[in-house]
Amino acid sequence: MFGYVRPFAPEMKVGEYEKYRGAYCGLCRAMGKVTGQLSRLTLSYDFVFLAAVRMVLLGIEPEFEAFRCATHPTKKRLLMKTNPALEYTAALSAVLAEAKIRDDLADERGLARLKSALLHPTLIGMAKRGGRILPEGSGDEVQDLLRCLSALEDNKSTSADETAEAFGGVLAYVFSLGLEGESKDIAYCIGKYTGRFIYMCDAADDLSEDVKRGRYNPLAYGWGELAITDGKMSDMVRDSVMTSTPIDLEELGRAAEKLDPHHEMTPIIKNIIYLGLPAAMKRILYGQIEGESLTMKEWKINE
Amino acid sequence: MKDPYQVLGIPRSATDEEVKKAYRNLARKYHPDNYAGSAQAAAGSEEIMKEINEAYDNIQKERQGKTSGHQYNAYTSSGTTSFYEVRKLINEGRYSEAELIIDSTPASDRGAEWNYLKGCLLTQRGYYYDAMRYIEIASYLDPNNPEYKEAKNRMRARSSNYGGSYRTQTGTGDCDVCGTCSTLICCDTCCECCGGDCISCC
Repeated sequence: MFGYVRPFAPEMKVGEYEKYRGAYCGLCRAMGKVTGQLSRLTLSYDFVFLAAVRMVLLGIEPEFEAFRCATHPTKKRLLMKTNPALEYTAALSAVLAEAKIRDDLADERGLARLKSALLHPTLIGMAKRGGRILPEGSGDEVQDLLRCLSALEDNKSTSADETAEAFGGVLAYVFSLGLEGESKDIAYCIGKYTGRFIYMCDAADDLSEDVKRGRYNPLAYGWGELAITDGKMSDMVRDSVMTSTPIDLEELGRAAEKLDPHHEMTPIIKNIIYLGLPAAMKRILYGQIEGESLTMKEWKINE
Repeated sequence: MKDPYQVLGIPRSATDEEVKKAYRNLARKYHPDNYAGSAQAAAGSEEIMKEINEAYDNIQKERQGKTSGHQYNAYTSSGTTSFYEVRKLINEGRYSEAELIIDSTPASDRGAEWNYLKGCLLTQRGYYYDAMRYIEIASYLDPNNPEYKEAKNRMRARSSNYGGSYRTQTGTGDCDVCGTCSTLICCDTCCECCGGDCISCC
């Protein structure tokens, strides 16, 4: 997806940090196994979060081993051994990517459409392989939910909340898929508010570019001429989004408090929810965050 | 739902102070810790506590609604507004009716106050991104209005509260004075076992 959902590394314990990286590598490997080597290119931080939440809700205790990554042959790192949560996430990321492209194909024109059309067959293959371990019809359901979002976007909705809510619906569905009872409710809530957050990040990130190119952007349509000053996001939009983001995240925090506090992944999830997400939005709105730069250099896992 | 005043056993005319006192007394009486001996009694008291908490919350909410309602009305009576009806409906908690009026207002009448009220209504729905936008636009159109400024500050305060419990949980967890002392005493006990004694009094 987009990679906005990640921990705030400076506030992490070293052990948590290594485990998070281990989960990232573990997911990458699971993707290679479940949906084929090419699918590893679609790996993103957001899916590591999904996998971690699923592990806690399913009560899967992760196991780690030391390994040498092909891109860093000199260093040994932790690798999370494959488990059902990683496999599910791997499968799902392929299904989501395929549904997204199918949706783009219906919308886009010109060069962008050509690009999607070229990618599509590869993704169909991946999604098919992924679909084997997901409940039947989940790919279609995801696509229906994405279509609700495009309908709002096509109508040039001026409400950022309405469009964000539609995207939240997609993630709520995939987070809660296959879970039961209270776990399902918690997953649904986490998915919904994570989705809303990702959508708002994307809208804020692309605002000036979208306006320049005349593409749809909920912030641009909501704020009208107040959205942009000197070709950049106006201070008013910046302040408003920065103020409302944490308020919107409150529900997410409440859901996080319901997670098993003794599970290994819970502190990592809480770091992401309480610190990582606000930091991600701050980075988008105001550029680099003070005091973060040194750690962030170390922080590019896949380099 | 039960009448919250009946649950707390006080008349509707009780002052805020009396409500608080009644709540505290009941909470002390029915706290599950008092029934630690029997699981059944503890479960029963939990049920009662829930009811008491709910009743208290409801009364608080109702009373808070009323005070902000007074503010709305005070502002309305100064004669600068045509949204008297909307403010009244908001005060009474009839949000969907208020929304109907707001949404059918012609574009030409959508000034600062319209934006402000629209923002207030959206907060009720949990649409904070849009709510903040309307409130921000309201104070942009009428920068000196104290009501809009106040609304903005309230949102900011709420926003900066996010993750507060997380930040206090981590970090200073086990560095408090009691922890340090009891650790020392424990260490000393170990010393004593081996013949030494660093803290002579214990």
